[in-house]
Amino acid sequence: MLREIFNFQFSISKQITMTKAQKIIIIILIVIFTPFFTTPAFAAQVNLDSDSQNIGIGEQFEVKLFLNTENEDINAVEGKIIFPETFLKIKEIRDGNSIINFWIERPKNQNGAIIFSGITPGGFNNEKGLILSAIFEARKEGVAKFEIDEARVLRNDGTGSEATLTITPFEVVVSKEIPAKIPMPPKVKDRERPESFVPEIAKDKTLFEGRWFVVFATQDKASGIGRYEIKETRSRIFGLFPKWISAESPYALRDQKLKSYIFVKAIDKAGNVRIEKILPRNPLRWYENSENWIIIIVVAFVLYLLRRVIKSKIKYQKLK
Amino acid sequence: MQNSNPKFKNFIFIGIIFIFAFFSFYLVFENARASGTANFQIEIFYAKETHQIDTTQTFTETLSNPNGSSFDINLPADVLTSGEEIELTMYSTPEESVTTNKPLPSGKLASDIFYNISFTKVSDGSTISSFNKAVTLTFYYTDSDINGINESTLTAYHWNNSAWTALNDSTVDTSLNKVTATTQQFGDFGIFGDVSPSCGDGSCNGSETCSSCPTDCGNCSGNGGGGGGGGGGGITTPVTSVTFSGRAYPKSTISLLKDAQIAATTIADANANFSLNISGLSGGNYIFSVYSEDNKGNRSSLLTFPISITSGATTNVGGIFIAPTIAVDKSEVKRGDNIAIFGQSAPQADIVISVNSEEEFFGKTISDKDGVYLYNFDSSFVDYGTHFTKSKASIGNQAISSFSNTISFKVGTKNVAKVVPTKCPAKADLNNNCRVNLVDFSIAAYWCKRPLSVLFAATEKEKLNGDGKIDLVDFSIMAFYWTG
Repeated sequence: MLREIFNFQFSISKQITMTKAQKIIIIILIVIFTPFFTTPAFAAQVNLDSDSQNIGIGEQFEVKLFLNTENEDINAVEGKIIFPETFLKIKEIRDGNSIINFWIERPKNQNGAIIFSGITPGGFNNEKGLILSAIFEARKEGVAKFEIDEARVLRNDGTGSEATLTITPFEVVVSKEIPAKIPMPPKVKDRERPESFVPEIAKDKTLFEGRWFVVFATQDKASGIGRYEIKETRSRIFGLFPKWISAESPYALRDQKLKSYIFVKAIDKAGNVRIEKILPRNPLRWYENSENWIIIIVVAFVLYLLRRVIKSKIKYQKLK
Repeated sequence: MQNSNPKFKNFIFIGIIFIFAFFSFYLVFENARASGTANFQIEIFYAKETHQIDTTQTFTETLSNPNGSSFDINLPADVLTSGEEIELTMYSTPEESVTTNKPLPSGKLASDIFYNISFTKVSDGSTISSFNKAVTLTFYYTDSDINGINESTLTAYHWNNSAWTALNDSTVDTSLNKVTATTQQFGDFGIFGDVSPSCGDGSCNGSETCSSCPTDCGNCSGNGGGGGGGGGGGITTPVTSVTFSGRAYPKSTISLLKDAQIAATTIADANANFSLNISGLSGGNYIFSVYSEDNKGNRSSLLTFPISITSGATTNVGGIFIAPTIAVDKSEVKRGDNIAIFGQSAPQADIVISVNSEEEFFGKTISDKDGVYLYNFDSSFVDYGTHFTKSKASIGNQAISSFSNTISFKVGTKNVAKVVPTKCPAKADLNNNCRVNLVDFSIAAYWCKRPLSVLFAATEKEKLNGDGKIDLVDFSIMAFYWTG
């Protein structure tokens, strides 16, 4: 655009001779007003950041991945952070305080790359949204260059159009001697349970051949969700005994008659647990529940014993 | 073809200047006009109190925080010569909610809790900027509030609208954990001090020893015996909550999503005002969204708030103005005929309707007492083809909503009545239950990176982008139509 304006100005000056002052004024005007003519080329930014970029060998440091939406509504993000494994060893990936509500691909390390993909329903529009962070340990002297590859951010416009994206390069210098020792990345003090959530039972002809399944998702603001476990049981009292099974949402239910209590356990990376329960949709009738029969038998036995004791007491008193 | 006529040269010169200036100001004006800024305020506080005060009498009040710290204010009698009745509002708030925009003086650290005091006249609600007599403020702090601060240097500070200034007569009583000062001005107050020597700063100073801080002072030689453990006391967990308030549509249902899952719903009053509160949160970043449904069951667009919640504090998000709903009476309008653009917003709101074609047209109307608005757009202004419309609302130029969803209509050669839209989301509702939520996400997530079954391929074509695979674009469409 600027070049076109200059060409235009140049072609005019070829045709008509202006005074030097007039030319200078026009050039100043072009410089001042050109930004107004050009459409603001704001692009969303994905950038890495760390408290220090000079790291000593053996030291640990945290690298955070941020999204700056540059005034656009963004609702989906994916990408790959590539780090040099020769210089750095990944110790931990944190997604506890992320702007991503639902992970399509929960951040994980795959041969020197952290891959991630997720959405924020309703969109996110802010200058500094934390996507994830990772703790690295410096292992060898040199310049460790990070790359963000295959990154995409999509607009919250109902069509999933791709927003222009700029990626800022990031590197850390690993050396034997560093001017000041950097503090270790703070350990996440997580004493809080994951957020409460409502698991939902659903059925769809396109999934699990139309069988019932359960969906669940929650967040943990400190350490992040570690895993989920699930337990189906038709017993209320003896429901303690069946084992928890590691599960992912969606989970096809074993009890397709929906007569079971379903327990979903969310465990954060610090080990805090939140258990949510779904009541059976088609509860057992009283005579179908073996627990009721056990209770009846136990009560009947106790009554029988009581009767025996009372009888023997009366007999004893009569004899006396 | 060289033209050396000086008049012609001047004409060209002035012409260029005029064209530059005209286009520049036009573009600036258009940008300013087109940008819809939705306003809302976020307030975070631990405790808040309001009191009406007779200024001819002395007045003392304490504001207690969940962590055990507190703040006393003491007004002498006749603090205003006029003797007027006044209203005091005071609240405590986390450090970060104040210092983000009001940076601390260099070399100072602040106590974790800040205070805000304001006075208004009961008679007319006007703000009182100063008193005739000084009021006494007492800040009671806990040891954890001043972690890392040299306690003996604690001083009360006041924000004077440009910088923090120390209150001259500020004194600290380290045995009672209190700072006392007097002031005749109001606004934000905090207690600041110098940085205290800390373990890990590289020098063995202050009260640091080899046992308390081996990092700085080195390891103690010899083996010490272990000490016994003490008994634990009870603690009360302060409530972490967030309150949302603002305007929707009269008697409409408002849904609040916390991290994209429905956390609360409420019904707006006849003036479209609503308030929603949720508690039991942890400290951290949340994405909250609100939407409403109008009297015809049409949903507004999702209004999203990324908010950092402070543990133990109440966060108030006020001044929310949910975007209007929008619909049209014809899917195709005969060029020259009118097309009705209508929807619902707050009562007596100014509604701006935008019709986007090659050129953008703006129309204005006012909603009625039920919040319903109607604008008849003359289609002769636009060419044949598909056009898009959206609306936004404002009240007194103070509360401004964001733009509504965008809907389309066609300008053609005949009038075609618009089929009454279903209340279900147009896309992304994979299990056809008229909601887009975790169930739909889970179904899509299952098929992500898997070859689609014949059955699901048909669903994908109808409800998502129809490219025969599930990828980020499909999830983005889902995130747009999300209802929770």
